[in-house]
Amino acid sequence: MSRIPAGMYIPGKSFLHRLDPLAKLIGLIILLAAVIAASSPGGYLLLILFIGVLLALSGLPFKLAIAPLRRTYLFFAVIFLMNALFFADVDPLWTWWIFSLSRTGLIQGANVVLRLAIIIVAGHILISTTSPMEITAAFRRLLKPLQYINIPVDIVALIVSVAIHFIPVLAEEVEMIRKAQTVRGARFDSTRLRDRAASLLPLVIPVFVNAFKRADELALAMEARGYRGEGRRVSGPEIAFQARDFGAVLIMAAICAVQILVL
Amino acid sequence: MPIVLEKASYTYAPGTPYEAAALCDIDLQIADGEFIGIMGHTGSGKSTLLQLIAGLITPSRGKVMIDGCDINARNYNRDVLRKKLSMIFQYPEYQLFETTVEKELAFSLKHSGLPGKEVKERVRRALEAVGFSYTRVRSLSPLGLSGGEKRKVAIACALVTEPKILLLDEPVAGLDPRGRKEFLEIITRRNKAGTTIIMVSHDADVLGNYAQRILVLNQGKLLLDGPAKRVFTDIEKLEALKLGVCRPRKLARRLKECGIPFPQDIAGYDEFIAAVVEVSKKGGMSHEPDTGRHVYSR
Repeated sequence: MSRIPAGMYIPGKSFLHRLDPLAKLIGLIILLAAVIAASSPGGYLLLILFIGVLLALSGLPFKLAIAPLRRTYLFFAVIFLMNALFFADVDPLWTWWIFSLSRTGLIQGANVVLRLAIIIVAGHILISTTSPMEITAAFRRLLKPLQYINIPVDIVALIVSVAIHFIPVLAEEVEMIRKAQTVRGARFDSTRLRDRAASLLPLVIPVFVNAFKRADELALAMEARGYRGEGRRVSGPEIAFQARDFGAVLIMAAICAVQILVL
Repeated sequence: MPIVLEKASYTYAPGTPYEAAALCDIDLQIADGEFIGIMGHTGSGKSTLLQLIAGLITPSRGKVMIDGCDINARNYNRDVLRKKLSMIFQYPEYQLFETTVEKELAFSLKHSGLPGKEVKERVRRALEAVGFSYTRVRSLSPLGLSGGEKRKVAIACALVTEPKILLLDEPVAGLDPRGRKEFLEIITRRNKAGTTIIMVSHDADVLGNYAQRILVLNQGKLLLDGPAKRVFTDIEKLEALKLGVCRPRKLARRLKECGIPFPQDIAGYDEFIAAVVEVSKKGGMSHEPDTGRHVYSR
């Protein structure tokens, strides 16, 4: 592994690392609401400032925190252009063939891009400061009330936790198979699109085959250790909300309220 | 010198909390046709060294030169390297993906520019080299083969380019004794035909018996480098590092401890037997049936 895969947990002792994972999860959900509610430049400014504060509290290097944006810039560019050029508007600024650039389109494009970027960075801060185990535990606590309406919360939480645990395993495997196929002459680094497309199959097929094999083995191993879908399962110490966790959620809620009511 | 490393260093994930120095200032020269074994603990940098030579990772500092060219230079054509060098990874059977064995092997020759007839001929040769009948396996699905057969197909994939340099990362892990022996015989045959072999292994016995020269890595540094016999002579140093020592060398030490003037520069079983014959001729070993013990005369 020569570079850190996106979304890897970075151990630390910052305020955000110590915060109850459930508080972080609820905070993220409230933040999502605030992002969706945002529409004015002031609103976005507030959110960006707030993300900056979160970053400072997380102790993560700035470069690492915005890494997911750098990897998806093409995606953002396409979304922006789609909105800017295809927005049906009454008075376009400029038209050519099927394209029509309009003011509303530009604003709409900027809106979508900003919202997505803020959500991605916020999510990235959460997974960088919270270990997969903690996220799953928080997820289980969050869903707990649902078990009263007969939703198998433990099983859903287990599915999520297995999925999360396999991300780094698969990432490592992709890296290994990429290297093996490179030696055999696959051209992953080629600038020619044709070469790249041709080298996709030798990567995807082995990874899938191995993933299914792993899944089978895991299921077997779980059954061998007596796993059954029912019954209460214990996983680590129970955590309770502390003053700072309540504080964090309240601040999030306040920001969301300001967003909806004022800006 | 065909393979030269100049002060090559490699650091994983630089600038993050996961930063770790994997290799530190490695100076190394490897001649054509050598059979080199690399020993060291997990995390000592063995695999990193192989990947540097294979051009899969770029050194953080220093140079890797193959046949006089810096393989990480901007103007270096990687296709040249891919033709010269093959690598067999640990569990190579995981890389199989084609619909037939023949296509699987031909994938490695896709960019070789060879005519179709030559490709077919090479595929046949490679399959036969690992002990397959070409006509029997060519149209089978590689993913439907047994574990051992998959491994053989993957090995054939590395041999089919007829490389000048063959890198092996823990190739015998997970093979049964027979598969292990077969594999090592294939590799030895290649080496006799002039291929440079660089093999990483945890198994000191395998290295002692097959490698001519052994490199010992410890915490990213090249600790020992020399002919197998000489590296294993320093048995105390290897044991102090908790590294394995090949059995013939251990037996030689036991004999010496029993007072028999037995040579200590032993790595393989052949050398051991030759030494036993030599010492016996000089009358260094005699057997007294009454006590059932080995006795000796100086």
